[in-house]
Amino acid sequence: MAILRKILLVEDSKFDVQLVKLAMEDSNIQNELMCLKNGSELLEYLQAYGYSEIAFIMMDLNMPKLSGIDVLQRLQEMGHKINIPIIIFSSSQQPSDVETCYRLGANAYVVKPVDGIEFANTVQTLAQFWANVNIIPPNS
Amino acid sequence: MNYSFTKEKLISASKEDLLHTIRQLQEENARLKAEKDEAQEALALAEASTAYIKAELQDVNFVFKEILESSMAGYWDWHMVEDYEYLSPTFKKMFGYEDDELINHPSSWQKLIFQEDIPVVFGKFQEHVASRGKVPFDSVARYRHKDGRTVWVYCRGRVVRWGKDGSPERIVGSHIDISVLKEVEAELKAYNVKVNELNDELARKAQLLEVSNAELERFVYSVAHDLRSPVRHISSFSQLLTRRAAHKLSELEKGLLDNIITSINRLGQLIDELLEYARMGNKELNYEEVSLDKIVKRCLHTLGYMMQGREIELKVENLPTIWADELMMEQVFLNLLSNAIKYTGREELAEIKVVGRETPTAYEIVVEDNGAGFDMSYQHKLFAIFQRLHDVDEFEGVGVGLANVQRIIQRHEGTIWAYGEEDKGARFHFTIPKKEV
Repeated sequence: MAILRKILLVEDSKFDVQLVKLAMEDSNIQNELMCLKNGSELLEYLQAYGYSEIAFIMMDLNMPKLSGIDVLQRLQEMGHKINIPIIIFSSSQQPSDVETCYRLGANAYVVKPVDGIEFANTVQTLAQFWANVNIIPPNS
Repeated sequence: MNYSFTKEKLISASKEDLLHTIRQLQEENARLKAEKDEAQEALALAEASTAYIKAELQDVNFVFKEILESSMAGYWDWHMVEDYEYLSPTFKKMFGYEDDELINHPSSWQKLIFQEDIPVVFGKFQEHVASRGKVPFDSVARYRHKDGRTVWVYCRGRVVRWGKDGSPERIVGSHIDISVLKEVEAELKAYNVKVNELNDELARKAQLLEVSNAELERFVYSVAHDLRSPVRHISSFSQLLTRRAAHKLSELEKGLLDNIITSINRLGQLIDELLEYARMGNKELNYEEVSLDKIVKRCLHTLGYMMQGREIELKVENLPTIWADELMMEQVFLNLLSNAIKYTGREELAEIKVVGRETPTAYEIVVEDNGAGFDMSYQHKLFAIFQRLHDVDEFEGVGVGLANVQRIIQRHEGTIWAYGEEDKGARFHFTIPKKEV
C-alpha cells in the first residue's frame, strides 16, 4: 500500500486548527494533518520538501505576514508547476476574494460554516474528496 | 427799353412819339407797382409763416422737453465750437443740483463724473465720431451726487452737426439714471454668488456624506467580518461540547448549552446579513438583461425547503425582463418571497402573488400575501435596519432583509412601498425605471 500523502492546513487561528483536527479525528480519514501557521511557513515548507508528500493544501485567506492571496500570487510568480490541489477555506464571502483566488489558481473555494456540526462535516467531505477521491499526477 | 433822350431825338420826335413814350412809361410804372405789391404781399405771407413755424418749433421743443423731463431723463446739448452745453434741469437734478447751481458748460458734468469712467465715455464717443455717427454713442458712467452717493447714468447721444473737416460741432443726448437697476443688478449678483456658494457647500457636504457613508459601510463590513470568526468558534465549540459531553450533562445543562448555541447562531445570522447589507451598498451595479420570471422561479426553487408540507397557492403573472443587476434582483425576490412564505406560516391556505405591471417609464412589481401582515402605523419601521414588527419567537429573522431590499431598489433608482393589515396580509410594491439598453 502506498504511503498516504499529508493534508497541509495553513491556518493562523488555533481554534480553527483545533476544529479541523477534531473533525479529522471524528472521521475515518487516515491522512496525516500537518498544520502551518501562515503563508510564509507554507512557502518555506514547499521550498524545503517540495510537493511530493502532499495530498492537498487547505488554506485560510486572512493570515498575518503572507495572506492566502499573497501565497497564490507568489506561487504563480515563481512559476511553480503545482499539480496538487489548493483549497481556500475562508470566512470571507466577498465575491472579489472568490474571483481572485480562482484567477490565481485555487482549485476550490469553501466558506467556513458558522454551524459547528456543518463545519466538521465540511472538513470531512473536503478531506475525503481531495485526499481520497481526486487523482493527481503521480510525480508531482 | 432804352430811356436815353438825346437832343436829336427830341427834335426829331413827333408829338405822337412823345405821347406814345409817355404812355409806355406809365404802363411800365403801373406794372412795376403791381410787382412791388405782389412782392410785399409775399413777404408778409413769408413773415407770417415764419412766425407760425417758429411758434410750432417752440411748441415741439416744449413738448420734447416735457417728454424728456417727465421721463426723468436729463437732456444735454453741447455746442462744441461755441464752448457751451445746455444741461436740462432734470440733468442737474439727477445729481442733486438746482438749475441755477450748475452752469451750462461741459465742465459741470466733467467735475461730477468718476474720473476713471471718463476714458470709457470718451472711447465710446471717439467710436461714434470715427464712424461718422454710424456706431451709436452710448455709455454707462458713474457720477458723484451732491449728497455723496454714486449715480449710475446711462448716456446716449448723437452728433447733429459736423464741421467741414468732419469734426463734431454739436452733439445732443440724454441721461437716464440707472442707479436702481444697478442696485438690483448688484443684489442679483450677490444673490447669485450666495446661491453658488450654497450650491458648492451642498455639493461638498453631499460628497462628504458619501465618503463618510462609504467609510461607515467599510467599517460595518470589517467589524462584521471580524466578528464572524469568534462567533463561529463559539458556535462550533458549543456544539462539539454538546456532542461529546451530552451523556455527562443533565437535561438542564444540555438546555443551557442549547441556549448558547441558539443565541450565537442568531448572532451569526445577524452578522451574515449585516455583511450582505454592507456588501450591497459597496458593490457596483452590474446592469444586464434580467428575466424576473426566471429569477422568481429560481428563488421559489431555492426556498422550496420552507414550503415543504405547506398548502400554498402561488400565482406568478406578467413578470417583465428588465435592465438590472441580476444578483441583486435575486436578493430582492429571495427576501420578499421568503417573507411571504414565512409570514403566511399560520394560514391554512397561503396565497402568494407576484404580479408585474408596466408604466411608460417603469416596471412595477407587486408581491402580495395573505399572512400576518403588519400594522400600517409601524410602516416607517418596515424598511429600517434591525427593526422587526413581530416577535422573534413568532417569526424568526434579524431585521436586515427589507432594509437590504430597499437599498437594492434605491440603488436601481426605483422606489419601494408597502401596504399591510394585521392578520390580513401584506403587499409590497416596487418600481425599477426603464433604461435604454
